[in-house]
Amino acid sequence: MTNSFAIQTRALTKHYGRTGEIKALTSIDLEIKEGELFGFLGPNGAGKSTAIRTLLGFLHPTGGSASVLGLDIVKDSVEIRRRVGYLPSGFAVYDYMSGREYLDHMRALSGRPSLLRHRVMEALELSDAILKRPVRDYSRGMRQKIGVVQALETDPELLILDEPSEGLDPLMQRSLQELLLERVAAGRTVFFSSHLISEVERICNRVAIVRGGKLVALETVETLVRFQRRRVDALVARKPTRLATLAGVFGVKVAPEGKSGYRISCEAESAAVPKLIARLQTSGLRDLLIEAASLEEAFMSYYGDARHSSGAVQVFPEVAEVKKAKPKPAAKRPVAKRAPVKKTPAKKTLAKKSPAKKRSSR
Amino acid sequence: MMNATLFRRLLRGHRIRLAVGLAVVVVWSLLFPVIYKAFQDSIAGKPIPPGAGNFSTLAGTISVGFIHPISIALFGILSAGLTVGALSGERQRGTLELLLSRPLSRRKILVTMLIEGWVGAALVSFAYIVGTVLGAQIAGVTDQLALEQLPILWVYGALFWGMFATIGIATSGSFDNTAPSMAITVSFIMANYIIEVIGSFWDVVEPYRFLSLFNHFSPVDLLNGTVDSSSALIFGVVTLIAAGWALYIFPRRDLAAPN
Repeated sequence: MTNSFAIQTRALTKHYGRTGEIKALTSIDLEIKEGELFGFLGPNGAGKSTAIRTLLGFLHPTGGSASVLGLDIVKDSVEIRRRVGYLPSGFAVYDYMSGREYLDHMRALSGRPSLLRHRVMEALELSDAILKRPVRDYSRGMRQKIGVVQALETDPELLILDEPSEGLDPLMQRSLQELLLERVAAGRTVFFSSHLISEVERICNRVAIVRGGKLVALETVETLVRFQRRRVDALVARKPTRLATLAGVFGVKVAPEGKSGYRISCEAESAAVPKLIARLQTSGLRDLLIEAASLEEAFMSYYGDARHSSGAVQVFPEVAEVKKAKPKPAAKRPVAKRAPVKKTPAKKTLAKKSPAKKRSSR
Repeated sequence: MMNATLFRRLLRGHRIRLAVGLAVVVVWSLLFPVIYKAFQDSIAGKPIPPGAGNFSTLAGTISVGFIHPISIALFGILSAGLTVGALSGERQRGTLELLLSRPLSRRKILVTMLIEGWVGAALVSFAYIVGTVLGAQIAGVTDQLALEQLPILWVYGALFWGMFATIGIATSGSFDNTAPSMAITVSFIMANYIIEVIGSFWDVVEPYRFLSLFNHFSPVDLLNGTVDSSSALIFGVVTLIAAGWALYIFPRRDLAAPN
């Protein structure tokens, strides 16, 4: 394994039970480059924490291999932990200590100087007065802030954060995201799991989605979203024919809209959009709104459908193709296209702020 | 092999238990020379009543105090009690995960916690001797106390309870919760104690008294100058077996997420 990857796993597997009947992780292949901000998505029990705990040596893999910062997770676990900042999910502290004593203790155990404590405290609005109070008096959010400080304060090369936004209010979540972006800008790597898809979408370069201990998607946020179905809403002069027969077009609904013509709504895969537009133009296209997909929709396509299925992993053909290819630089995400015809103000509410724009605000 | 930062934190976490416990041990142990003096005064010039053999000498009285059930409870709390919940307790509270996220090997964490248990055993044994000396002075029987034998009594006491502290860390490193760890350690101590006590008056059990670790710890012999090094060897072997198990099992265990 090369050391240009902050985290690299090869068929990493963790099964429990005498016969390995409990499959917590199955053959996970991950490559997280140094300097990446990587999101790890999945609901409770999907295997996110198991993967993290295996990488840090709390659990022993039953198959495959993995390296963190070029070091083997089994042989070099102590050295890995010297260079990694970690925040566990459900962070717990020694109640008899004050916040400052706790931070000093954890920093002393890490054997590294505190470089960023004041910066992180400032960002998370933690004052010296708060740190003097016993940890047992802290609210959940306050404890989580202490957890974030202990993970970040020594400026580790790699941050592994399990649900870091847990218990933080939206303002603090935003501050934390900015802190993480700062660390990435400084050349550090951030690997974090989250339930908050919007958070991952806002700040991550790439994302992995796990389900039932298996990796079902590993791509840039843009690519995952690009291959999601678009919601298409169009106004045409004449009733279109054979629209539903177009490959990659689903759920076509046609409704007359007074004298304006016909309102068409459907979903279309990215590749089918040009053909769909061409077909609509033959029917006298007057207005067109194509809504960009969000990461949440990508996520739900893996989970929402699966909850009603037999449990088999569902991977969209396009994404499966993309998964075979090497990670690409972040692509510019397609935004809503609007034909310069008549406007229908009521439909403006359908259009969301483009995620591409949101990311550019970074 | 140990981490000083972690060691200081462990002592700090147990400081109230240690301070109160050691004070109680001092008070408890100073009672025995006083009881001895009162007993001697009450039977002055009379024959020693049957069954009062241990109280006929200061060494015997101190020895009774050393293995009295209350002493066993106090010594156990301040030695094995520190280690029995050390690892399993940290895991149960959810703090073990962050401890392990630091660059500390599992063996180093375990050894640090074990050393705290041994420090507890040494301190409680020392506190008992301090109380005994104070009691002897209060009762005015210091001249009957074999002061030169007190260091060896302290060493054997520390070795004996350090052995149980090691058993405590071995069980603590083997379970995710404190309850089974506590149950096994306490049961082990109780089983040894019961065999020794029952064997002292029941002929059927008497031949098996040697199986009890308490049978090999005889403060009265130590105070009378009879030092049996085989006892130290037995305690050492049991300690090594328990420590070996702990050092083997704890690094190999999967540490599941806290409950």
